[in-house]
Amino acid sequence: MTSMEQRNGPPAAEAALTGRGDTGRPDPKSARSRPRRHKWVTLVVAAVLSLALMQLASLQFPPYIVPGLPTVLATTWELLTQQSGQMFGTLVRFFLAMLAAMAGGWLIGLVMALQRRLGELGEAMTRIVLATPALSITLFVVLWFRDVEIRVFLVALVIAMPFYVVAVYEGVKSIDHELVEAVRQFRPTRRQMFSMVLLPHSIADVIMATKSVAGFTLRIVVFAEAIAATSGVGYSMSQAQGSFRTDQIFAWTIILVVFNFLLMAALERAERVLLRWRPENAVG
Amino acid sequence: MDDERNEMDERVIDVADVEVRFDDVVAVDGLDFAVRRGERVAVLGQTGAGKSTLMNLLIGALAPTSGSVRVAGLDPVEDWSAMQGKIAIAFQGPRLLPWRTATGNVAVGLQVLGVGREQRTTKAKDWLRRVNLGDALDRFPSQLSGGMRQRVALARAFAVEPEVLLLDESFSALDEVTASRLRADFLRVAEEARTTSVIVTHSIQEAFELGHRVVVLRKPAVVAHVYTSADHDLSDPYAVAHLRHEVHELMA
Repeated sequence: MTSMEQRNGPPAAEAALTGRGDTGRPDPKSARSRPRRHKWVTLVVAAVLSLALMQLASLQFPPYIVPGLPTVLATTWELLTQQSGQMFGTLVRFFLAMLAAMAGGWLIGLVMALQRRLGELGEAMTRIVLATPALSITLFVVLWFRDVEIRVFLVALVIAMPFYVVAVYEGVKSIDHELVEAVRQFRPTRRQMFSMVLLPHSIADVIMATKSVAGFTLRIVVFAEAIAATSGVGYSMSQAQGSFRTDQIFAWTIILVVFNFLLMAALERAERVLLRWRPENAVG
Repeated sequence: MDDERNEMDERVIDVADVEVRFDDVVAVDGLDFAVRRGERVAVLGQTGAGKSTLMNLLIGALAPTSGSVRVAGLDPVEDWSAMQGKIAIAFQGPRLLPWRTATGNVAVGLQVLGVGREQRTTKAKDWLRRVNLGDALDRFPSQLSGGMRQRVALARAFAVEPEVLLLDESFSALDEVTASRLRADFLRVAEEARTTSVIVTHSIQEAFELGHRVVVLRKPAVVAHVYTSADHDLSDPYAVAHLRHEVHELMA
């Protein structure tokens, strides 16, 4: 469930109506935590259902098509304990690419928002990059760069950064003019206006962009590893496919999915802390 | 005594024969308007009478086509930087930065003026207590009611201790009970700080309640009709009723 659905959908409305403490007064904390808990319970139910379906399918197909659940779980444990270096390598690549994309996208987005002509040109160029298939970018990088780490880093960076650029650019452009006027009445310098209004305003844009792009970037890193690297989860999955180790492909998939959910949970937590001023995150 | 009289006679705001044109449209014409130090002037007028134009001229958001505008002895447009801290405005809406707490919002002007973090925080909290928000210092705007937000906006304007404070229909978006309380708070704090104030309002009652003088703006030429609290006994309901009738006539 997206945060938008949480805010506007029936669960949020239901919780707001029924979220009452012992005193009979609405308890905002309770009203907010209930849909979150409900979301996680639903997620666990869906995961169990998926594994059950996989087990059912394994009864109908040979192991190289769909392996049994016990085999997959055993392989998952084996990969976690014996090939954790592959996962670690992938995560390092992912976090480095995310950090670079965030910093670069933030900076470029702000510069574009502050320089109108540059902004228009930058926006058009960003749209072109966003429309370019990930495979094309990966193949160009493989052709042009020899170093494996640079290849994976660049693929993830080029694909993730435009999301940040667009989010920050559009966000800063849409700043409420009345807020700017409220600060401008005190006659700040450009630097003060930047640090007091534009920069804090863009934090929300960066966090929201991170939430929407993190899972996608992880998938891109794994994809790039499969094509352009000699280590990492993507490379391991590619090797497993070549040797018909379907259990390993399932096992890596489970590990990546679980990591993705943990990442989303961490980002949601970060959003609640860093954007606690937002009405939907506020307490009191 | 003489010093005090001189201070009272000093014109903090001096708008002389101002015309503002937007292409062929005349927004104001022949505007003469002066406010002495420590005086509170309420400005009344129908929509389009030039109240917003007057405010924009005073804060330097607009330059006159002809004539002159001086605030605290300076030109609000030409002397942009030198005017820092000399004028502040409380708008119709609170316009608070949503990511800052009430204290952080009140400290905005002080931060622009270069006041150190500790000092501006102490000062901001002090101003919040003065507008009866001592228990909401660390709350974000989203955690405050409309009236509380407007109090924060008032405290933000007062906190820089401006020579001139502008209120641009600051109470008009509030319910009458909240607005009445806020007006009382404003009067108390403005008296304490002896702040020169220009209060733009649609409400005749509010104008009489807050202003030492009431000025009525009318188009096409701006006419300033002045009623002073010194000239009339505003505790006399008949006198007030008579004045209100005259103001109605002028605004019509």
